Amino acid sequence: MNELIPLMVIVPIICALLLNLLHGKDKISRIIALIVAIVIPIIAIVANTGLHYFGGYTPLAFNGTLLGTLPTALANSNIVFFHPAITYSLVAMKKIFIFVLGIVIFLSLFTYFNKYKKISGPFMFLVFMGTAAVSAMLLTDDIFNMYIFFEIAALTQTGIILASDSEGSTETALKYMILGSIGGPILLLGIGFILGAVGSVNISDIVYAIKTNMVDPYSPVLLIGFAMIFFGWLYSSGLPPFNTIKSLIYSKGTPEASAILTTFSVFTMVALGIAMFRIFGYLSVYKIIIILFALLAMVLGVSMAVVQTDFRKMLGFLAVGELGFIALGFGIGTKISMTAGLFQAFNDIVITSLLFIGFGTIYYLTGTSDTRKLGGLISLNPKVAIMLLFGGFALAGVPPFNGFQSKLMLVQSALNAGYPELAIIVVLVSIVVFMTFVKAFHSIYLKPKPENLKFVHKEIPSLAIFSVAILLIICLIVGIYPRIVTYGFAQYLGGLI
Amino acid sequence: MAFYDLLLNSLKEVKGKIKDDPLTSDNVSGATAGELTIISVTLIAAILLSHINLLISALIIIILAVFLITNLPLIPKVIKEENNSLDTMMFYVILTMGVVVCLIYWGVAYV
Repeated sequence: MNELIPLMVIVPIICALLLNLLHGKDKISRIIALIVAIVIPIIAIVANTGLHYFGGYTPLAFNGTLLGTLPTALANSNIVFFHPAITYSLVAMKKIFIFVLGIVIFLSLFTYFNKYKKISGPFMFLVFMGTAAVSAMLLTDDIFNMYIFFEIAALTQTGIILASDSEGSTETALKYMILGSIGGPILLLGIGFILGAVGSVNISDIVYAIKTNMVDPYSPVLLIGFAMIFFGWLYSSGLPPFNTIKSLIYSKGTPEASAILTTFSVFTMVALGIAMFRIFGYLSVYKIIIILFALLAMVLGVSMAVVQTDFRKMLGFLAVGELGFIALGFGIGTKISMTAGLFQAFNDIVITSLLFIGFGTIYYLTGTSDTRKLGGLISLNPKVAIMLLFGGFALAGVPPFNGFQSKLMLVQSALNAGYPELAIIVVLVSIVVFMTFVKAFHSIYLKPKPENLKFVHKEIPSLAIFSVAILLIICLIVGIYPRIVTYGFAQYLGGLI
Repeated sequence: MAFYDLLLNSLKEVKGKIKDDPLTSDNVSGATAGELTIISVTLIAAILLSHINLLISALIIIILAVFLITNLPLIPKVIKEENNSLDTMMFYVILTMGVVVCLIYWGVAYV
């Protein structure tokens, strides 16, 4: 059932268009949105792994009839292995990611519907359009197709911030768009260089051309192309120098929007990161440059998070800092480190969504995110407090949660690869993440309640608690049985490395 | 407590320029942790260069150590640079673009 593969992109696009048309008709919009959010992970599970050739255009080498009609010189050349049309590939790793994407979208929308009586059609449109875009980025084997969806994902992220309608969100969205007007075209230019050098935008074709020396692997055109694609990757992931704007957009969105935005960022990071690794992994400088930016993201993210007194900003910086761990896994470049990187990406999606939705309940209750104005909230709902504490533990890498497993795997991979310094840094940064979280938790929940603390709402929405609980259960299950996800990742990477 | 006082005064100065919030022990403990993280991670990361060249690594560690010590406290400077200003962001974006291109284009020949 390879025909189901493109449905993971088509279904959310149709849903997005429908929801935009149905703006104002809340009941039907809610039903459609929730059904589609459930359908996406189901398609991911049901669809067979394999390739889907758009238009049925397989490489000429697989089409005996057509191959026989070609001139001998052409039929015997390597060109026959090139992909003439866009190709989508589905493997266990991609299934896992799209499954978790569907879960996060479903829980975020569930919480959103519970909080707001009137729902925004444009917001829903942007959420599903973004979902389609990041799914396509992960599925496609065509780097130009990836760029198209990269731009759509960037625009939807800008739109989601605008639709969040919080203080300063318009300014932040505009800044993100301006920076995107540098990151996007530079990525496109990089793809142009690759196309110029290889003559194809299909990633498998590019890898094949480089491996079979059809093009010089150290050609200046390819190297500049790599530099530009790498720069686009920094923008899409939110690694330095884009860490400030990325953390800012996370802190300006509604909690549900922030959970969705982090998921989108991790997806684009993983999709482009894998494409870069497949194409340029042979370059010695590849590892160095990725490790450099990973370390920068980790140190800047965590050192900025620890000084924040606004928990939304703190979470924004922590989310960016965690991206550094994913990049570090990619940078070390071994099978186990890449598995750890992908595992960390999976965990990052679940944990940051949990924390954004969970901490969102505090903002919902009090209308403030300033930790100095908060305190004593544990008495209000101890269950949520405990769940958030465990979520923070998962983020910092405390056993038995999933964050512990991925960070342990990262430390082991760094040691195995002969980089004990990186292992020390991972442990060090995790300790500071733990301290940052405990500091914020103490300020919000444990210190005496300020006399002037006022409440905007009386109770936490029940579905927000439900969402946090589900995400925490995923953290725990994956923490105890990491092979549920790591097996699929390792299997995929075994074919690449 | 010379380092602590240095950090405290510097934070007061920066906070005064940004907003009127009072400076609490929470701020200072966070800033101290941030400060130590930056110093330790930077120096450990510099040791990584020994995989490429031991001499360069030693040289960079000495330069970094001098730079970090003479520029203490670092965290207020990082906070200043990591602000919401579009101009600052653009500056670092362009700087990074230059660094990335140089590192990849010439780095391949020497690494």
